[in-house]
Amino acid sequence: MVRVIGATYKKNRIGIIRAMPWSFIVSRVVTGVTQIVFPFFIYHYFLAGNLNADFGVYTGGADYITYIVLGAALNVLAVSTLMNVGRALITELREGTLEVLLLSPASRTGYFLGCLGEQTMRALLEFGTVLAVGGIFGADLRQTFTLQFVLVILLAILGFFCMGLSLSAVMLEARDTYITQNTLFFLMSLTCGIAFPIQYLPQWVQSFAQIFPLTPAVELFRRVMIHGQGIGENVELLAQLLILSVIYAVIGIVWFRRKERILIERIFG
Amino acid sequence: MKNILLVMKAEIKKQQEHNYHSYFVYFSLLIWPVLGFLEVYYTYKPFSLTGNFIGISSGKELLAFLATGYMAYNCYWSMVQNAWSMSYQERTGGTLEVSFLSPASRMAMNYGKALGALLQEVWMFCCFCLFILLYAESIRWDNIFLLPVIFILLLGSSTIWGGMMNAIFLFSRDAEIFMDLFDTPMVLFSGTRIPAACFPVWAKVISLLFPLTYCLNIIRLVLHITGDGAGIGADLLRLGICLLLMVGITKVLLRRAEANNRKNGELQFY
Repeated sequence: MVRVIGATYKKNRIGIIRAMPWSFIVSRVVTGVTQIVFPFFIYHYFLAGNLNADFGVYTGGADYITYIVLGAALNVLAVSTLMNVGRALITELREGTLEVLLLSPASRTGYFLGCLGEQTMRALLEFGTVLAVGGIFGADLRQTFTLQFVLVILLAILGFFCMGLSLSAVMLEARDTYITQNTLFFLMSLTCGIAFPIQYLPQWVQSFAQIFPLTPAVELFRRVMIHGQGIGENVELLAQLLILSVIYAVIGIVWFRRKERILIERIFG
Repeated sequence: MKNILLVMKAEIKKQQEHNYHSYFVYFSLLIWPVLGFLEVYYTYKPFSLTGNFIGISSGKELLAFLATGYMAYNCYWSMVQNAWSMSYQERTGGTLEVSFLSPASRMAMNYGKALGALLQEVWMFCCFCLFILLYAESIRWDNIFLLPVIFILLLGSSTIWGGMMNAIFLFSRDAEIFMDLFDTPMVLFSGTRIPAACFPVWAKVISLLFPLTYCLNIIRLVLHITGDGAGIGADLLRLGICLLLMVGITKVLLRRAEANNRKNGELQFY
């Protein structure tokens, strides 16, 4: 499997170096920065820091700008990982290389791990850029680069990766990337607590938000970064993130195996 | 005039035949804008609206403010998006050069493309915004006659904006960067989500560059959302000047795009 991971990493890396998808990267960073700038303008220029009491209750007295910046940065990491992993198979299909992949005895999990490894540096670069911009806007980022910070990010990437496996199967099934990914990202952005605590949403939407790994990941990230808590103090969030990861990974793998059989029959039958 | 209207009608028909054959379009035309609108509305939830913030002092007034902002923004943004997708699709499909090979008026074709897209892309979301405006009581029986005025204003100004976008996208095969360039600054500085009146001076200066700023000011003043209507004349004059400027720029850009392609050998784009 290690060789498959290495080969996929190398193949994707060569593709990226030769044709860097700048427009995707610029677009994701711009979206992340907008998610900071817009609440910043409301907070400083429009409503002059006039936060209501509920915000303090829901966030444990968090600083508003720090709260926003952390949400926007993790959202960029989620979108980036989901896009890069989720689009892997459909990109192979579009580029005419899916047949080779289907015929090869290489491990499918290794293939996806190779995709993940290759894209992680780019995703972290986008995440770091948004975080740095947030720092300029006044976010308190003193907890960055602590061991807890690194662990949360690794857990979050695991959750996004597993969801990406399912997304990849959905995209291959629907033969579409545009509608699927954008609908998912709009839903996540609205329901996962990126720009506001999810407690403001109706109860049924809050329950719906729990199906996305981003919801527990962003809450855990904020507790570590704002309140200096450890992961061990948030076992319920950790458990939710891990359970969701397992569920999405199983759905993705099973779905892809079924789809693989159908595709092989269709192409070579 | 008859020929111009004929060309525009043909372009509108072409747009309809080309783009609206899949239920997937309803996602981009209704579901995404509605989700985006709700996200912005909820971003305001951590704030207390007690007091009068540039004419907004309650949840309903905020809804009306955002609904007008999103309705107008959607019209303008669909123009940028459409110019990008049409330039790409027509370029690869080999029909973009028809703009230069046909004896039809270049300007009429250009504005026909914009108007066709506008009529088909924004009606669903505009219905949603109207529903919000009725709920927020910004549109009532006594001022419902203003609706056609607002629609004409929106249609006219965004078609002219769209014509300019179409002309810009004639120049390059890879003009996707314009999408980001026009989207974020326009949504932030034109007062779609936050009143431009509360901006610092530097941001107010940027907001003057977008015709959407004046268009939104007029709509909100007419509906008494951010004021009682005083100062509407100044905004109408500014919007008029802006639109005239854009028509001039579009004409120059169309000529330059054609000259550029003639000079570089052939009129084929792809």
